[in-house]
Amino acid sequence: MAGIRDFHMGDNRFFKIAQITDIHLSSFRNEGPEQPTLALIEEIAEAEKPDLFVCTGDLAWRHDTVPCIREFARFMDEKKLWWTFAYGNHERDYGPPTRVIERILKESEYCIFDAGPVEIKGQSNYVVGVYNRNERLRFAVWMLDNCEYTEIRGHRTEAYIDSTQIDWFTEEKKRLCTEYGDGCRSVFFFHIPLPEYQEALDAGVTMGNCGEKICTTEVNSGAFAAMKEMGDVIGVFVGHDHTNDFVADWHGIKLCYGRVTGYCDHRRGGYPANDAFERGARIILLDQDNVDKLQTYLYIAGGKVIPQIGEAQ
Amino acid sequence: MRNTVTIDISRPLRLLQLSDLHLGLRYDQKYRRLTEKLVRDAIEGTKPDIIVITGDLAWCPETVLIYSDFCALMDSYNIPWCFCFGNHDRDYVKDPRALELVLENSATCLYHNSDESVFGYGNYFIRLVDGEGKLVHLLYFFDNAWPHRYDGLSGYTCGSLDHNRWFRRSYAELSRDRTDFNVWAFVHIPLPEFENAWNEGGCVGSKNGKNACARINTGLFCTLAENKHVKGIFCGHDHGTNYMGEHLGVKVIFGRTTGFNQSKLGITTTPCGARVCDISPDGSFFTFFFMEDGTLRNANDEPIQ
Repeated sequence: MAGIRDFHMGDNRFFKIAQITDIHLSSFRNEGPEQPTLALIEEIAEAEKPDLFVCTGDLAWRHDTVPCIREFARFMDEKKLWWTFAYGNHERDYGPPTRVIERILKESEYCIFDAGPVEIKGQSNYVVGVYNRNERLRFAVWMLDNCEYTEIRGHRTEAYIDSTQIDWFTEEKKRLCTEYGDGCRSVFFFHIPLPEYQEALDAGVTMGNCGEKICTTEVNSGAFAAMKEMGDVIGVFVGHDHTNDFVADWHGIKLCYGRVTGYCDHRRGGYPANDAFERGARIILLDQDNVDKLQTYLYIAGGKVIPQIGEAQ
Repeated sequence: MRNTVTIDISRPLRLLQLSDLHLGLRYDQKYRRLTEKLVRDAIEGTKPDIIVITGDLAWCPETVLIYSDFCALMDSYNIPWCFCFGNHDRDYVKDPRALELVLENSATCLYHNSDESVFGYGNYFIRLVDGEGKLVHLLYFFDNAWPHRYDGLSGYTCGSLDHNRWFRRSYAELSRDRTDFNVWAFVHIPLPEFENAWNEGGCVGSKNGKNACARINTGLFCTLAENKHVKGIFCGHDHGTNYMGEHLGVKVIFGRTTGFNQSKLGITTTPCGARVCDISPDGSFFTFFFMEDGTLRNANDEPIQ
């Protein structure tokens, strides 16, 4: 098995991923925003029938993070929706031990999760394999945890994907090639945008919304360069900046924001996301007949679809 | 090839940085003679303990010949010198090994490959030790001017994460017993963070337009900054730019363009010279410029009266 769990496309031309992000659950009381959020996820599941939901972090964010994650995992199990998870910057705000979260996720039937090697930074570093109709490994779905603050020379900076993580995925990719052959393409999912997102914006090559300042790390660890050196990365998907959903082709790799999914309600002291900004998800199509051609569009609550790269299906 | 030099720690180490000599454009003798005279004047005028050339030594089809002549010039002074390749040195040679052989044959040049498997040519470290063999300064040279041919990417892409990995593992070896030494890095092409240092203010010296960095950040600055013993990073490449500043506590130091051949027309865009650095064992640093006319300028590129 290539990853911690693998998918087999069979004759389905596309492997469809629904990226959900910044869900910001903070309670499961009936009057909370959780109900519209969960209803939206059900709507996406029904309308798009993705093969996999990928959550790029900020799933929960208050003192009741652990119960919220437990409830969410239960919800996804009940709906039989496969999903993966990468930490955002908020799940660990109130200090729940990550081994508690890890246990919840690993014990839930439909969550595909691994903390990753203990010697590398972060607690959600792992890969999921996708096989084509001939049982050849065609796509590697990488999850990374880039959310611990780092101190560099006494200067505290927003987290970056560090050298331990870079070395890990570089070596892991080599292992996949050795064991499963070349011809596999990689897509990366994590919470905080790379500095290259800002470069793409400055170069004027983005398409989609940029409603707020890109909140990225001040220090470039070379993660994007590492992906270029891997040679097979076709897309990077992040969250964090709620009213950004743009895509850009940056030096041959598609840099994409997700579409904010959570209806966190700022009247309850929640995160002041732009309430008028419609919630949704990013839909990503990986094509086993054209592995280099990544297609993606936005699904907006209510059924509207916004094509961004390629054709909406 | 030796990688250790003994220095006198009773006084600061005098390091002379030359850069972008661009000797021999179309074998243009006039500019070559002027540049070589400046090199001689700078060495004789400043009496350095060690000389560093941060790339673009030559820029002509007769590169091997230029290198041979230049090594003979340097050998005549019997001062150890180090070199890292620029982006033009290898423009006209099929195999950079031909240039490496010339450098390695020089009696005084310390150029070599610490690890042949590392991306590029001439990735090495030099240990500067005191009379008892204790490491005082560790000089790292990275070839960040060798192009990386990423698929689907045109334009200017140099360097590799290989350098980061090599630095970390070689430093781990070198620092096994002690870490009370200074680390200085030398590259040809300025790292993107050099622009950050300028934008943050507090720099001294001159800037001639936007720095021409590689299009992709390989994280070399991050790797060096993560190591608290790294004091500064020297570079060349941008003619007319010679500022010094700091970013995240790491000094960023442009050399002064030494070569009179600074463009295809051979027209100088700035007064030529060399950077002189007096570096104490504790890492404190004083610098000034030796100019083409024999005068001196301070770090802020102003004439010293």
